[in-house]
Amino acid sequence: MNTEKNIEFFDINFWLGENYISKKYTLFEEDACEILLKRKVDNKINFTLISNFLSYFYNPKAGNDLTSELIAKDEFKQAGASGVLFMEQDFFFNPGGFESWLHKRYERGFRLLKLLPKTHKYPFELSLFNPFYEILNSYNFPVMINIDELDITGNKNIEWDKLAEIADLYDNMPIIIEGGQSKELMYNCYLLSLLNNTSNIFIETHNLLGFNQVEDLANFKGAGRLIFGSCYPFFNDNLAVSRILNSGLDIKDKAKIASLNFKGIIDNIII
Amino acid sequence: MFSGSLENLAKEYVIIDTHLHLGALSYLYMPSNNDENIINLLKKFGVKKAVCATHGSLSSINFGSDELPGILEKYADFLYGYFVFNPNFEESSLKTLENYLDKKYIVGVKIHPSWHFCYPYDKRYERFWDFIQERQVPVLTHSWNPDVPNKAQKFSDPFAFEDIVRKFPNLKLILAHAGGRGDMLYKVITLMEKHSNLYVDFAGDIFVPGLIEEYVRRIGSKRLLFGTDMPWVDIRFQLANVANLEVAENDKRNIFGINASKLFNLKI
Repeated sequence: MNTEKNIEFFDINFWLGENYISKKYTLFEEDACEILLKRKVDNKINFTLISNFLSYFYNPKAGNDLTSELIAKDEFKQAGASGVLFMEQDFFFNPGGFESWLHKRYERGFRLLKLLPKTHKYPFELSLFNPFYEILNSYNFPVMINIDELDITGNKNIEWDKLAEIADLYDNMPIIIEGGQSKELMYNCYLLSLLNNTSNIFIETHNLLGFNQVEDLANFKGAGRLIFGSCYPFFNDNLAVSRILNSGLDIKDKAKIASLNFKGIIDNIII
Repeated sequence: MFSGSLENLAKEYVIIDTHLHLGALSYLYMPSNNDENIINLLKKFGVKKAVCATHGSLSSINFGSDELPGILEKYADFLYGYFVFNPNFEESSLKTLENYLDKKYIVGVKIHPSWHFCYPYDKRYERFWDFIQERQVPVLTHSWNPDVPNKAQKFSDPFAFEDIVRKFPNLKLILAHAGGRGDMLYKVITLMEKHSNLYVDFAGDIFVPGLIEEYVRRIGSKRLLFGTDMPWVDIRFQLANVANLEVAENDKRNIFGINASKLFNLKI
């Protein structure tokens, strides 16, 4: 690889399915492959982790099952699709089933667990979620959390320190932070302190909107801590890709952020 | 789809950034944020002219006014300024404004009803609107959807300006951020259909797919302005956003810079 045109992207933040409050942001399953293939051609987004709106709005299990069916199809495999798991609340009632569930889902092509503690009303704190963190940590399995999900009051009171505690105790478990809807959340020193005091916290890039924020974070603790995501369909993937390609980083760092960092994370999963 | 280097856009378009901020702000820490870095990045990506309001002008009275000339003179012929009117210091702010409008580098006035906690139809704005009508200078105002967690945004509801633009038909008022969030982004189009003296910019994180295309379809491109909101949002997002619009080339030219050059009388 020696030119930016050869940089391929791995999108860990792509939403599919029925968004019942917005037709504009709905992507029906039958149209998804065409979109994924177009993104391959246009932006070299060769791999995509699919998050299903059904998991978000209706039922995590139903969404996980639907995603599982989709990514088993040949056309989705050719489009480079794999899946994002959403935590199923049944495991708070029956924690013993979590480990075998994770195994099975991994075998079906899931590579990331997304936590929605605020929206789906369950704890993410160390003292309450620890049986699951133990298992995830033992498999080096990555989790992703949106900062809005840690903002219980909706007034930007983020419990950043709880993330640091989790990362510190379970340091084999990559924790990927997504910036959420409130751009203001990203203009603070918490991110710097989190990166500085942990080794396994990563930042998803699509809304690192601030002036030179991608470069500043990469120069602070290395490009290895940033992971590409597009937040499609809420965000035009051209913008997310363009920001990385037009960054002031060298080509190796761009390639790391675009796909190599996350490939390294999933290569490191031991199941 | 535009997939080339963003640095090449300047070969095809005149780019004028009509909405950026310089200077520090207490709760906005960005390691690279200083005036020189911002100006250098704008120039690197081919921006020909820029119109700024300083954070100091929004968050202080005398300090902001005192620092502004030095900043604008340092980047003369590239950087122009908005004088910020503060309704909480109505008398002194109007007096200073009167002096500043004679300076060639001041091309507009900025107001920020949410920052200053004052509705634009408040009594404290009355003399300001009369003054602006008389002097015929463009006004950039923050505008946002009041239905958001931040309660101060209620002061900048785009519809709070409707009676003002009706009363002062010669006023050229730019609704920054196009109403900011949610359905307000589309309600502003309806407002602009009714009032031809309204302009809009999409500075900030206004990246709703298809939004600007809808503006162009309904009201044309001549009242749409390119603004970055630097340093809050990096210019590279804004350049890619406009470059990738599914509109005619002529519309992109208008948005990137032609409209701003006419509105602010900037020679390009």
